Amino acid sequence: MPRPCGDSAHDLPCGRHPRLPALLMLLALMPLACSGEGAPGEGSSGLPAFRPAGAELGFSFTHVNGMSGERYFCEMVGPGGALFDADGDGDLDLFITQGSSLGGVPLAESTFPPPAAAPAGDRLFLNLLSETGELRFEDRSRAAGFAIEDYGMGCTVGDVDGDGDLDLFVTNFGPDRLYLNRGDGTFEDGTGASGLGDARWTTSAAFIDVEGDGDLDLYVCSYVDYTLENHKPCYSETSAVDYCGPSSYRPLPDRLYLNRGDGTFEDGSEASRIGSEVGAGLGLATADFDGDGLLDIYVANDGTPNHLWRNRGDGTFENTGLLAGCAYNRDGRAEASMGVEVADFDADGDPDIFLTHLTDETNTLYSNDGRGTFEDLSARSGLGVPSRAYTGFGTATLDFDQDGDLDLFIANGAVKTVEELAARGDPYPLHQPDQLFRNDGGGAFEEVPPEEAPFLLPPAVGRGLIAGDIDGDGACDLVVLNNSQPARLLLGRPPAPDSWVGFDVRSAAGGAPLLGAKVRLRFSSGGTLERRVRVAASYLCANDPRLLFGLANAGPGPITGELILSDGRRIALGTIERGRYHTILPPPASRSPR
Amino acid sequence: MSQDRAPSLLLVLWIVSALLPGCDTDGSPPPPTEAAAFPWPELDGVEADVREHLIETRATLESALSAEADSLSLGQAFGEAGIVYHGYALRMAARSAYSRAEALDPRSARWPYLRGHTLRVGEDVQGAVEAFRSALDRDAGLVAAWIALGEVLFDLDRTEEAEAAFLRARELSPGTAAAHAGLGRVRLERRDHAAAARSLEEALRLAPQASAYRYPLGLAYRGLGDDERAIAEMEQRGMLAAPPEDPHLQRVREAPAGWRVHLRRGTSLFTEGRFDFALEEFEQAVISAPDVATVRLNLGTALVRVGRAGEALPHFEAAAQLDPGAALPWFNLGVLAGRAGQDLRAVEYYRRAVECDPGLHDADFNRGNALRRLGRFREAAEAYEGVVRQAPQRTEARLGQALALAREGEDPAARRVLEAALALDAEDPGVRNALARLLCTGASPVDAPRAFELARSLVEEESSLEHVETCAMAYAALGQRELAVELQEKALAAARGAGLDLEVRVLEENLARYARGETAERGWTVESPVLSPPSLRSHSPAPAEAAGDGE
Repeated sequence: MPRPCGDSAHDLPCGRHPRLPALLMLLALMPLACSGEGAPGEGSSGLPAFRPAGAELGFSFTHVNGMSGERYFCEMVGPGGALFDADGDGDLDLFITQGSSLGGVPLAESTFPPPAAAPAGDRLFLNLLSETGELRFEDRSRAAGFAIEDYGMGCTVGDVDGDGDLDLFVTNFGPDRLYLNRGDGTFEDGTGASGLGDARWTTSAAFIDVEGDGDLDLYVCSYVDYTLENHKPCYSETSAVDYCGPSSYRPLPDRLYLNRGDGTFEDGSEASRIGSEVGAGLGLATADFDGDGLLDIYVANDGTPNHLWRNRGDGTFENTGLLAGCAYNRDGRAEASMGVEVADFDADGDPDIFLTHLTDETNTLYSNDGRGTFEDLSARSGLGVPSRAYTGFGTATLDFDQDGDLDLFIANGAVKTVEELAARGDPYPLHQPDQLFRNDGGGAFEEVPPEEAPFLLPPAVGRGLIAGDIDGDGACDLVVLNNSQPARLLLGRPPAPDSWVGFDVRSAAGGAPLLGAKVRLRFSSGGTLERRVRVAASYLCANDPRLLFGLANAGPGPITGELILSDGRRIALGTIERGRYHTILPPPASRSPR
Repeated sequence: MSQDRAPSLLLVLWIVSALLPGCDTDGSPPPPTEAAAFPWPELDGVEADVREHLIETRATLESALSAEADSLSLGQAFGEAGIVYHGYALRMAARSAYSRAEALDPRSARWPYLRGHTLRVGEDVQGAVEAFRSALDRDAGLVAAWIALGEVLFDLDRTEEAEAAFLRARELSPGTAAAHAGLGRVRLERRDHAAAARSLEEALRLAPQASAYRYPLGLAYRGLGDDERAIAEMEQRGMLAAPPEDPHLQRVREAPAGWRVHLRRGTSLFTEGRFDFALEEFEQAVISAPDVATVRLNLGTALVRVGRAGEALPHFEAAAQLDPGAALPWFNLGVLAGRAGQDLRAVEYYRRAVECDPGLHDADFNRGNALRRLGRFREAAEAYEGVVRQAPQRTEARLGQALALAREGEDPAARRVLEAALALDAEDPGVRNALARLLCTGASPVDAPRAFELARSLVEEESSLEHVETCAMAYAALGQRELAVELQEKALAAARGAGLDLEVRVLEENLARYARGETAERGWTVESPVLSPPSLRSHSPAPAEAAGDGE
């Protein structure tokens, strides 16, 4: 149902999602959001595309990594986070994992102590977006139940117990935790009964319904067998003590946990074969890569071959990465894969894979031929060489210029001392600028120079990157999570009202995003655009599952839409109204568990 | 940044800048024209040898500069300093030094060539192209520069220019595998898979050890629709390339360094499969660090990999003594003992390894193998069980466990283990073969038809002596005496032809049983390469790290 709109030029008002009822049929298109007028003078290619924001909105977060000179490996990896509706009020709240002290050195005595009075533990910032579109955050971490000082890594969200709200799974350097949402934005620690308290070093995670039984199973990436007890010194090329890389420790097999249907899990790693291979897993994405209607799993491994787990539809997976051509780059090298984004970069209707990598390696784009076979197009796409000087971590697709194709944002930050910065006396010589690449529509990219994108600076030590429309104005906003530094909130420039449309595709039960579902728009000009629902991507992060389409090049004529579900069903969405979000609740498929 | 020599530096650079206008730069980068600070490397935290080396390098350069030497000598001095910095991956300092050398020594191709290498791994890849072109302007016969130029152009997606560079390299030196490989990669990028395969095959013909060319060759075969061959090539992939003779880069590699640097370089080379070069680095490291366990361990491991296992033993022993809490020295000692037939000692070494690192399941696996060879099947089964607990996916461990249990007479338990292994990997030939034998031997064959199906599929895939023997066992179990005898006679003839005396004896015994209408008594009568599963091989010695992350 329509909500009242404000008319602020900059902070466009956003519709509020109602608490979603358990509808068992498609509810046509429920208008949820509305838009005001765009900022004066803006056009589809106007810049800057983002406006840094933070403390003035009540958002302030500084990551602590607990470093004290020992160079514990885990110091370099976090943080991650999630944009999700924690309190069910229809807007995106922000969760960020936090580090803690290491090796018995109190945080106050660490190399970069936290700001005075900064609370410890993971943080939850509730979004208090007003009806008039005014954005404001409030740190509700303690009240929400995040009082435990874990050493946080990443997280993912999903309705694990089927009660209609989004629960939170947090990976740690130490035992993982499952936080069950009470439905009001407060959480209880449900780890104990869940069977999810893996004590190994885990990183990215994703909920995925592997068995097709309607409940969410959980894939968790494991990194290496590093502990503070087996910590050892590593050296740079000059012999100075430096951080170790993953090859200094044994990579671990990932785990797949199967939901018993009641929100508790059993370890299905062996039966599914996910546990049959090891890899230093950092990034994770799910998509139907081979077009067989089943969600597959792609894991970005750090220095070991990446895994493409093809879903065989019987509860088992097969790693097809080698022949598929996405385990190694075109030179046959296993790269130091950190973050991963899966999207249709070349607009040919299938999911491609983009990976971020270490300095001296290129970021890599694997183009899908539609059958789950890939070609490394890093050089051809223009994404390779410009990334060589940087270590990429978080990455997100977004259509920042609303021209209909997917652009790329990359959060960079070194893990090994940067010679130039050390020579300049930088006390934390890992700073690198973030990067933004503009897609030409066919999968070729051009780097947006910093003079056109001042929000890419100053250089920081980027790790997690979360994407989502935080203020509901139709522009993708970003949260850049920096290691041992403040996080940065970048608010996307509000697009003109007729230049975007958004979709919120959820399961009929109303809670979970309908992963893998696609919305295809058809323009009167004959062109089409397609987006796929996903949460897990980037690096240690969970993104806004809603779909945003830039319509600046769509022409003035009517737009029709179609929902394509992973089981092959196609549902016509009729004529699409621009400038707002539409919620879609398709009826459940009548199928038996696979 | 260390500032202790800054005043003299200003003087020095002023002198350099004063000298430069007289140089014929010949298209080289502009010379330094102001007394800007040379980016002297950071010395904090580096080991004593390296610190001393860097200080000495700086002093030598400053001395050359203050002596007001001629520009050629100054160029040499800067270039030599650049080589030192380059060796330590101090690319900014190296680039700066090479730039000055290039300007002062305008005829040498070495400096722009080396500068190109410092640029190609960073942001300024276009700068690398220009540097390599500059080197080739000075020496058009420098094959390594044509290859390097082709590679950076390829990275920049300038495939036509890259192809021209590789063609020129091939013309100058037709036996250079890297030129053919470069051409193959260009053609692969153009999706001309047949031409790519031809070029890459030629590269591998010239340099069969160059595992780095296997993966692109696999991609070419994939493009040609030959997935089987594609996978076969891809699985042989490695990082060992076959670059042309390159005395300039060799100088960089040979620059003196401290033990940590040698250790790091050696480990990196080891990972690339360049064991002989890795050995040289570890030998350098051990000179100044004989009491560092990792150095001794890696030196020993490299010695094993170049076929000098006898010399490795004292280094592993030293490593174990220096760091008795580290698992790998014990593990490697176990491997050497096992190879020498000293299984009792091997068992003890592996036990120590597991004690140090309970997660090192390779040690438990090898211990299981050694115990099995000693006939201590119960303990062997327990050792394998330890592996299975930690790494359920390791079907080879399940196979070992099953064989040990079978030899202990616990056929039902062995079968359970094999069925579980088969559930994990239904195609594992070792598991299928073992299960087939278990199902059709012994006093009471339990499932001869299934055994026969397994055996038949194995023979269809590969009619090895072992599979044929299994098939004969299955025929015997099915009561098809004549077929069993016929097949066994074929197996026997093959074994005799191969001179496998031990196997001949076993095969003859079984042949006699089949002729009498009996089944084979046991699936595994002797421990031999033929009649025991081929996958049960002990794992090789391991270095401290798989890559260049140091200790």
